[in-house]
Amino acid sequence: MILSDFHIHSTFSDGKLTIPEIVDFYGSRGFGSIAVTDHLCEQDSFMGRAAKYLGRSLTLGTFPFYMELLKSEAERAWKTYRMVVLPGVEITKNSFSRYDTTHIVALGIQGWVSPDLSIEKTLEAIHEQDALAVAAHPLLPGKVEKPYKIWDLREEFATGFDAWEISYGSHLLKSVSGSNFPKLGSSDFHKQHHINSWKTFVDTVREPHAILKAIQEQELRFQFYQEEPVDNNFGLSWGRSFGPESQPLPVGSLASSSVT
Amino acid sequence: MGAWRVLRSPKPYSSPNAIDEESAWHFPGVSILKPLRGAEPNLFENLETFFKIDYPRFEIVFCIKDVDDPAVGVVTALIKNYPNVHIQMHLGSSHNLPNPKVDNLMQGYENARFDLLWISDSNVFVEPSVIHDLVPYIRDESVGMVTSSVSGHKAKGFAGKLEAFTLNTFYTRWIHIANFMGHPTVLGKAMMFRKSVLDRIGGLKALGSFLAEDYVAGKVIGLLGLKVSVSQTTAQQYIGRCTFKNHWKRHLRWSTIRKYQIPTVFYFEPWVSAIPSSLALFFSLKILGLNASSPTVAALALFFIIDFLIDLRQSRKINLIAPLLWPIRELLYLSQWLMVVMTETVEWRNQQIKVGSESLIELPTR
Repeated sequence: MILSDFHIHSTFSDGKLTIPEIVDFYGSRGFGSIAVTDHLCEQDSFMGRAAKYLGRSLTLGTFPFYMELLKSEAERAWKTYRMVVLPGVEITKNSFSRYDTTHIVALGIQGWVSPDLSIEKTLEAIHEQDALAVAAHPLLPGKVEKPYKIWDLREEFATGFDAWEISYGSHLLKSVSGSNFPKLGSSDFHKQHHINSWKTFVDTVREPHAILKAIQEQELRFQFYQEEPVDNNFGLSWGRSFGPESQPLPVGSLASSSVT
Repeated sequence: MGAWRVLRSPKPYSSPNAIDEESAWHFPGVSILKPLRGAEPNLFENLETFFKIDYPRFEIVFCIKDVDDPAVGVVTALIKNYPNVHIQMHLGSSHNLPNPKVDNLMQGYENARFDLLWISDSNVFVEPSVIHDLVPYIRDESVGMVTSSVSGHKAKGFAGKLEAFTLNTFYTRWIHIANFMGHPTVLGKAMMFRKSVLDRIGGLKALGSFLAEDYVAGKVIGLLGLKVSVSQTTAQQYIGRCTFKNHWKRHLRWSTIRKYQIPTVFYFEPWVSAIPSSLALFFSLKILGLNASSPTVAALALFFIIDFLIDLRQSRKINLIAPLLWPIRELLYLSQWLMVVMTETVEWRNQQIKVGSESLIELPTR
């Protein structure tokens, strides 16, 4: 089983770590595969332009460098840690209305995916690249989970998405985890402490296509990953531990899991 | 056009492995990449200063697109005069990149002997100690690129002096303000970096779709988690004669590029310029019912003194006509800024080019 995280942001959008730092961060913790999925905001909308001006989005200008760096870092990650790095983006359609905001993670992309297409066309464009489309955090967590539009339209998009994220940060989305839709556990990692979140174990070999296929076929288990701060002579560092409430759970039993 | 190459190594370098570690650390080999086009004024004298560099391990790599370019003759004459300097000369280009400077440099980039590269424009001249001055910056492993602010020298005529004054003051301030605001800013007239670092994001070729390849280089170095350092040594640019029209068009183009490079800094610019900030001060004090004239004059005087001192530092001489150049530059800057707010294109080599995100000229291959 490969410990994996398929939703990670770098300094190419709004993450705090550079891609080389992300590789070392995850590689040194024994992860077997990760996907760097920086925001690719709509290029034409007001919200998208604002994100672009603030340097919070990939652009046509930075995208080629992003892909080149992911390629060279994937080689280094494999040589150094035997870790697979998948290229990805998070197509980000932000709206003034929370409900209309839609984020789609594309895993294993080969090139540019226009963020300005409709949701249907975006899903088609992702699949044309033999990449996977994952519905990112489709609900807002809380006592009563608040759905985004994409979750309310889940039946319509059932065949378009290859998986639905079961968590938003460290919060388990019970509506998703209890559903019959294909699932994926990811951290939406922006900074180091976001490592404390849900992760996916993939039951396959360490090879990009095999990993993508395993996600499609749901050869997965999910587990909450928790690190505790450890005080040592050099200051505060992080030690890895899995709490008793976060034992590995098969997909079918996720709904009954309790997460603090 | 077929490319051909002249390689002249009078005393072949031993392989880097043969050099003891201490020497290699102190004197890492440097390949100086020189893009040339046409016999610019003072070209021979500018280039000659590079042949006089005092450093144990360097080569000069000339890149010239056209075989018939008069710069070929200038370089050939210098090679004869300085037979002990290691030279490469690459003629022609086969990459067809939208940015002609990057396109011109590609063969030199691919064939450079050393990992440490220093791209230096044709109108720059240097002191013999220049590499000794720059290398310590890049030896810091957290630094990915070293750049220099530009200082204008040997200006002739009023427009030439205005050009030098603008480079020495406005652009020196701008590079430091942009870096201070967290935007690593590189000037293409002088940029030193490791080829192995740039190759991680696609090499020099990846910069060929941008009008401002220098700014983009600095940005991607930052995305790698490395710093851009601004050296104390300036890139000394020969100005010579310059027409007012050329001065105006050049700075209009640069202003447009700045707008697309770092819009947040561009729109902030007027508030660190003399006239808008002094006017804001004047009206603020008026609204508050306070004496506005004296503080406004004091603010203008302070701006002038700062620019005068920066010019003195950059040009290393007292500029007696600075009191005349300064208000003209301020008014021109303001006019250009206002024009650029409404502009989406730049005139470049007699073409109107639409500038895109981060100064992208053409969309990258999808």
